[in-house]
Amino acid sequence: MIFFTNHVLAVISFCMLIYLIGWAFMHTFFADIFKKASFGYKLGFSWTSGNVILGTIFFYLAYFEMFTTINVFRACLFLGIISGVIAGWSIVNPLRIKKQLVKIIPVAIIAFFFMHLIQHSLTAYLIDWDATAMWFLKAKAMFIHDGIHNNPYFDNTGLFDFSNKAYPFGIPLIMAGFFKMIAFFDDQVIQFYFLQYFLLIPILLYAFLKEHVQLSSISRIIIAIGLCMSPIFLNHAHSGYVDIPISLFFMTAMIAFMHAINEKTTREKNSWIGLMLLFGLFSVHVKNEGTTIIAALILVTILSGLLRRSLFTQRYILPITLVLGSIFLWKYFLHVSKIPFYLSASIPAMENFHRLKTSIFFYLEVFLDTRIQSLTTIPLLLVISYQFPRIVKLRKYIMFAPLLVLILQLCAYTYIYLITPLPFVVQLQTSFPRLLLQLLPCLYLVAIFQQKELQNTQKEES
Amino acid sequence: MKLNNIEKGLLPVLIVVFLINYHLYQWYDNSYVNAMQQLNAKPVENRYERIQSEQHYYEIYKIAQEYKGREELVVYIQDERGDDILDYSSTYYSNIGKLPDEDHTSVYLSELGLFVMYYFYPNFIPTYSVNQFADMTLQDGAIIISDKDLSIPELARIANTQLLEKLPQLPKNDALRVNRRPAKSYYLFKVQGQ
Repeated sequence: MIFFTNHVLAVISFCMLIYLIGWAFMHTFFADIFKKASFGYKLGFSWTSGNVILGTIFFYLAYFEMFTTINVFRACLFLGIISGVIAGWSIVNPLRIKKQLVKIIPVAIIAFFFMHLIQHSLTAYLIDWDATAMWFLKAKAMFIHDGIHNNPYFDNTGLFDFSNKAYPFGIPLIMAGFFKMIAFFDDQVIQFYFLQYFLLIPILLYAFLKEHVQLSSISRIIIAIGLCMSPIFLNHAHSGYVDIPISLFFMTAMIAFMHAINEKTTREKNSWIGLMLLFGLFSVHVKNEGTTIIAALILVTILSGLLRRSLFTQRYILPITLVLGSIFLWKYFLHVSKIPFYLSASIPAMENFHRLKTSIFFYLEVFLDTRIQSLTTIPLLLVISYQFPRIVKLRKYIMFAPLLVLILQLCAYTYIYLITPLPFVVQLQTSFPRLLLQLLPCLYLVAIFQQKELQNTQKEES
Repeated sequence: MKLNNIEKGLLPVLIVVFLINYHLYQWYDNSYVNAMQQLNAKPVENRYERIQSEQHYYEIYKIAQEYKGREELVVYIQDERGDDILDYSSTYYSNIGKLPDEDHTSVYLSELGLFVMYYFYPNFIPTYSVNQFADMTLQDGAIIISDKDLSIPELARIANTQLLEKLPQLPKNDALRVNRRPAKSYYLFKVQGQ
């Protein structure tokens, strides 16, 4: 049997540990919203927050040259014991087994549908370009060395420049933590870790549909699975690219933002905003695009009047501050180490403005290309086009807030294409399909959110 | 299962769209079953090695293991040049601070080169051209990884090629990665003494 060997069991245990840490964290810091959340939400939030906790702790260990095997093991053991007690109590205490099992059925159907993908993630070798050149090379550098300051990888020697040393390394750090614990750089089984992000996208979408639209479970499952069946999703499901992971971070941050808009009580509104900040901020450690999405989210949150002073007195401000602190330390490290980043210009040159037209046409081409997207984007475009004039007519512009975040993110991409010193067409063609992949689940959420708001408004009027 | 009026109209549309998507997804599923059959047919006891042996650059991985601590014996030759393999990031970083009228360097990195860098990390294996190879003093037992077949008659005029013994390679199989184009060939040689 090829599947059940030590490393396969180890990666499954590692993923379970991340869920457990996240579950305990959410139960401790965001109990008011987490207890009431559906099972799909609980899984999605547990996974992303588990990664935030582990990634942030690993970052501080690496920053202070303490990212050793024994410290990684100690941190995981400590977190595992604490989380096991908290999460175990939160699950066992309100035990209603029959009800709990019913909640698992949609998750089981989604997992069963992608069974071949799960098997493939445990039996595939590493081959894709960015995965090898950037993320796994960084993971190898952190696997071999115990920190970032005396790490030859970060020396400004001109070697390994193809791996873009200034790119974030949150996911490689988590991978390196796992490799340190098994004392082997297994670039195969770790793909199962990447697959968790992929599987949680339809699970979260299913849960979001359940919360927002009156549809039967069969329709919800069809929509949720349908999104992830497109070639672009399958190609990146566990290839080692971090576009699907950041897509899940965007998705969880957007779900939190949308709930914050709808929530009536200030306390819970604050909790959702806190969760949005936590996931949005950690996405800065996942990929560069995280910086622009958190900026867009904060801007739109302020414009929507959702940011209250009382947010800063809640206990979850502590983990948020720790994540923020790790971002500052990373940027400071890049600055003092003089590690170059390719986006040095901040004002686009006049002769670059012709790129606007090319970019926008290419966006449309990729968005409507069924060879890349299957039939996932065209129906979505029709739904949003149908909703748009109706919302304008109702003058409930707050409904556009989540869409505005995505539009701002798209504008940020366009701006980067205007200032990039790399060959523009090559960068556009190689990056935009994946940038769209990052935003597509959020676009689904936006369409569902707007539909719910439209139905609510119609009900109120009638 | 209770369907509301909107869903009674919506569900057939959803099912049709789903079936169209599923038709495309089936291609992935079938390719995967084919790939797994080939993988399971291999009698290798170690899981990592069994899967890795299907990787196109498996021999590079094996050389990196075998030559650990003796990396100075590994020579990497990249003959291919062109926009296809121009490494835009490295080229940009290596020209930072240069004026427009200064000579700009171009850095090329093929997929083979990438895997050489990856498997040999933390050691850096420099990249040489065929011309540089012609002027090299080769050490006995050195291993040459090249994207060009150095045993072709056109290169017989290069004295160093006479010292090389071509190493056999496993038949390449890209079945496990069902969603990508086949990779290019590469060649391995061993220096047999002068």
